[in-house]
Amino acid sequence: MKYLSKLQKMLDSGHFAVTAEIGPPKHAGAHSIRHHAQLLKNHVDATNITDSQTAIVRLSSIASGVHILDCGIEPIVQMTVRDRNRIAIQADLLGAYSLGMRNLLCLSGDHQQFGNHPTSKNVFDIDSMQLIYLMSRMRDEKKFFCGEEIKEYEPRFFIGAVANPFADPFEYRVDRLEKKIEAGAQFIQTQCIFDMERFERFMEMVRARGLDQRAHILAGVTPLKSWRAAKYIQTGVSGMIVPDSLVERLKNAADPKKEGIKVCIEQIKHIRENIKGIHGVHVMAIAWEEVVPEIVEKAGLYPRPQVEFNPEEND
Amino acid sequence: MIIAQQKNIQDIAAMVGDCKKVLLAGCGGCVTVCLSGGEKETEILAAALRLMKKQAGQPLATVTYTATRQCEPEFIPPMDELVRDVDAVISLACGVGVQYLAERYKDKWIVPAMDTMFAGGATGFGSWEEKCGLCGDCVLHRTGGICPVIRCSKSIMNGPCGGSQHGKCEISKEVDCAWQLIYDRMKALGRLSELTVIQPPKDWSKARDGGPRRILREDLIKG
Amino acid sequence: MTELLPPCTNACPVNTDVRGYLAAIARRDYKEAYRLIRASNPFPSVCAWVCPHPCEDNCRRAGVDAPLSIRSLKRFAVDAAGANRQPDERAQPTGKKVAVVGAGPGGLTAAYDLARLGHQAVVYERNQSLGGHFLTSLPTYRLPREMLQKDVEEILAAGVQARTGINVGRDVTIARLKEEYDAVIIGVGLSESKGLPLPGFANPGVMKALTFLHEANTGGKPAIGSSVIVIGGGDVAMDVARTAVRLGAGAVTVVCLEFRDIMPAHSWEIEEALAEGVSLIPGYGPVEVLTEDGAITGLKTQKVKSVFDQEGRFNPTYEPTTFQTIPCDTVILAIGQGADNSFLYDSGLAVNARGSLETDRKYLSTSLSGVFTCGEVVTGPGPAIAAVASGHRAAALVNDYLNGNKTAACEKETQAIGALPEKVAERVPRRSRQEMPVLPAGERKKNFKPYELGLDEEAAVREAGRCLNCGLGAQVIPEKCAACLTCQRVCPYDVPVIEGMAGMPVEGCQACGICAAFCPGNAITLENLDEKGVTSAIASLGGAKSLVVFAERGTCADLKKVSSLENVLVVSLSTVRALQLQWILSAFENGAAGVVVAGCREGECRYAGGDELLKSLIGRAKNLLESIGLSPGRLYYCLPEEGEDPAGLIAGFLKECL
Repeated sequence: MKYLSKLQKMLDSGHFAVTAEIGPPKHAGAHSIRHHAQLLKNHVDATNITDSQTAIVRLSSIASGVHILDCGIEPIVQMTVRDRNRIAIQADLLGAYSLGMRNLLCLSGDHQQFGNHPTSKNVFDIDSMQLIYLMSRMRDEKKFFCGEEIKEYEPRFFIGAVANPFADPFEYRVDRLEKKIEAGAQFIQTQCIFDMERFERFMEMVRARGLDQRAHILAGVTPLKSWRAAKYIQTGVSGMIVPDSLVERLKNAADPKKEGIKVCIEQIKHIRENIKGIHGVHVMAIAWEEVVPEIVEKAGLYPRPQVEFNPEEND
Repeated sequence: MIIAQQKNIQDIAAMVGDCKKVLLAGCGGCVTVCLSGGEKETEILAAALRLMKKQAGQPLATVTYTATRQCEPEFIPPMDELVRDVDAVISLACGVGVQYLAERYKDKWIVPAMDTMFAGGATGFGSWEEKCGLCGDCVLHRTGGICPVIRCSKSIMNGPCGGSQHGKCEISKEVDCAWQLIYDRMKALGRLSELTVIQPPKDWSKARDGGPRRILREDLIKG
Repeated sequence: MTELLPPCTNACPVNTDVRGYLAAIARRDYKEAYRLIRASNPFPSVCAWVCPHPCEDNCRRAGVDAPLSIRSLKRFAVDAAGANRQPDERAQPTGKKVAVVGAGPGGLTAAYDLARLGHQAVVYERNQSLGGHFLTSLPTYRLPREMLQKDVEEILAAGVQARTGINVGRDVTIARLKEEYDAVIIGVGLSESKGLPLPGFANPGVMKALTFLHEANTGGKPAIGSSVIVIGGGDVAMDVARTAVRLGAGAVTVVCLEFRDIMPAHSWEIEEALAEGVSLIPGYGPVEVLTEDGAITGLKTQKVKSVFDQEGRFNPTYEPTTFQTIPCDTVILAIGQGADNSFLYDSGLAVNARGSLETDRKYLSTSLSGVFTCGEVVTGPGPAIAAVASGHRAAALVNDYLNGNKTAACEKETQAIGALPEKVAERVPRRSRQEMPVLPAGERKKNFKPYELGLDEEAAVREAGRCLNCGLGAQVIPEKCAACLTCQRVCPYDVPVIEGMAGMPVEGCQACGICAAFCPGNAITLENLDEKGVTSAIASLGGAKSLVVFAERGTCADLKKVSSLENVLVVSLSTVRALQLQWILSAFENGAAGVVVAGCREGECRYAGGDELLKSLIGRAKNLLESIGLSPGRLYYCLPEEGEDPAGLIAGFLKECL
């Protein structure tokens, strides 16, 4: 059995995977990326590297991936369709693979209106669905997006996609997840879960259709630093649902940061113990990467299983 | 139709800062219908500019003319006499009209009074909405008659993205999520299954990405 | 082509420009109102008192709340115009002479028109004074004779000559007049009350209405008893009955064939008579005047079964056995009038089987070339204003005849604007009708003094403002219309119809002018708005540093009276909601120190809707002023609160500006 990446091997072997997220800096220095990679390296199986998230210019996802790989963690390269047309996307992904990246997460990307270049042009030449399909076809059929044959060294990514159970229309979210799996998504990372009840309903539908058997679903969690952060996400970010009870709990906490970590740990435990069909967690500690080890440990996910994977061998 | 709106009057005045006499050319087409550049607005702009320049101690003389449509070369020549003795022409047409004027009056300073906004229509008195992305390859038959190319902020063909909530787009609570509308309509039509098809990448070469477009109707072109 | 007229004008036999004079009253221009009234009617004062006002019966405002009080307004205009009136213009003398026989409304109108056309018009009248029925038949409490005198004086001032006390047919024949004059017009009217060939009616105590009224109106005291029966159901019967009441008859009873709901008298005449104590026995026909020793003791009547036959002709049938005897000592017959044909003596004019003059109803001609007729002698009994119309027509025909013009003056076809659509009527703000104030019945029945007191000025101006300006609405210039739907979107009444281009159905358009203010193609004009007048008024400022005030007509009239605003230019609009942005700019361009938009107090505007649009327009104007370097404070939207005086507010603003 050949695996495309260590993450795939981990998931396919039935381990409960842990991924985290590293946000690259708004400058050309690599030290923070490397620092965070060192910090996380023993506690997670792979880390996502965001692609100029919220449309704010940051050090590139692929370049960051090189640093992370160098530090000993397997990167998950995020690729949005916002900034690149189909030519640039392919070129960058050929490059990423040549640099050792093996996991690819395909996204639309936040609209540039939210970022620091709101007057820029958006590309959206293709959408995330099309990217998933075209990248899996590139791997499986050795074809460029246009259909032209790739004679050799086609990139062979373990392809992931995102799902947001908290966006509308709710019922259609499962349809769209299925569509992504149909398009070729092998793993799914969800949007941050705060509304557990809605997530459970979502998963019920997912299981009813057997989607959890066709792709590895990793539940997204985010530790919150304060009730203000919770309130902001609740009211200021589209496609997120934060229950009032959570805002209140943080408001009433003596040490909100500690409470936020505690909540996150409880969520992970609940998901792992009670929700069938979840194959891992994706911890998005936004600008708070240093708390991930504590969360992983206290959630009982440490130490991480050791899975051997040699990219060269698998090529 | 084309929806346009007038530029700030100070910006318009600045374009003809050193002129003593200008022609304000209105258009009887789309900009009349969208209340921004017809005869009435042309007269108002002329009066406002005169008043403004008079205040500033640099009196400006104006003449006005409203063409049937500025986007047809045949409607331009009636302005010839008026154009002759002015220093500049301010066009209240869309960008098409401005260019037809500039083409005909090669030695005149032709400036736009308008920002040409979009292809759309009125949603009531005083409100207009973009409806068509002019992509050259209509997909409305696949999306329940709602255009994702222009009405979805990301032009997603397999939407909605994760930013859709309460029927609104992530960019603004004022903007409907086109894909929510598409979903609702396809559901009402009993055609939701059609949305499960992965829509292939769009052929943008038929849109403006393919370079300036033209249509040549062989059957209509003489000789 | 059929001319479309406002229903008031169309219903008026002389097509009086009612809408025009009402608008003049609304702007307090009473001389102009009087001029417009008199333009089609040489009896403005008389008609202001007695006209049965078919205009009101046809007023489209009835579909909203109540018709305009048109006659009351005419009365007000006539009173308010006072003595200082414009003399009539007259054409150069033609040297032609026309004799007019009979100085009633028809004859005098014909003479007046001919005199103004330059002909010598001479009226022959058997009475000592002029006026015909106005003089002899109309009770003085309904028409003070000085009103008649006023109109007659103006007619004479136009050059009409009068020969009174001459009985044509006896003192001079028509044949003789024909020799002496180039044309003759016979307007002798119907001056004889009809009698009844029934038992007892030959008794000298049975009087005829016109004789009775003539005597009473000229200061006589007709010999009536204490219990009077008037036979007849028309207006004359009511005049007779009410005159009898005033003469002191103890009991006055009107008996008529017609049932109450089909009595020919106007309803208000009947009601006023009843209020004055007259009794009514409708649906009974006279059978016999009962006498004892030559004295009348009663009237025997029979119950009527039907008045008209199946073809609608007057053909009464009676209940064979139902009779009623009403005791009385006096009987007055008011059952219709006929001509006194003595004028025909030795005239050579052809007569019909009944001995009446043969006439052509359309061309008003007789069997003799050059002899014409007019008035009731042709038209049959009718309101005075119909006789006036007939007089106008006769004069036009005679003028054609004298000028050798073969194409005889043709009556133009007219048609009234259709009914006000219900959906429009619903949106028109309701305004109560100002009724003519009258003396209480108990008081007025005691004497012959006029009992209608006239509207006061404020009531009249308010009432005139209720006029819907029928037919003065929006018109579309087809080549400019872009079918943009703006008119439809801004119209408060939902009137415009867009079919290829905008159409403004005349039945619905309220002539407010809001559509014209917003039409992006300047494709809409309104007669009611006078855009040219507005622009020329603003241009007349000529750089003078003053205020320009835009106001609705009525407000304008109020402001013009205010002395502190003497130097302010007041521009009249149909409503301030019709204000156009370029007018504001134009005012400043012409040197205005400030511009005031004088709005209506809440709920006082005569038009519905449009407030928000005006506010937006003013908001836009202020922003524009600011961006071109003018202080937005120089534009003032004056919206007086309850109890606030707009003139005071404007005067305050004027001080600030200068």
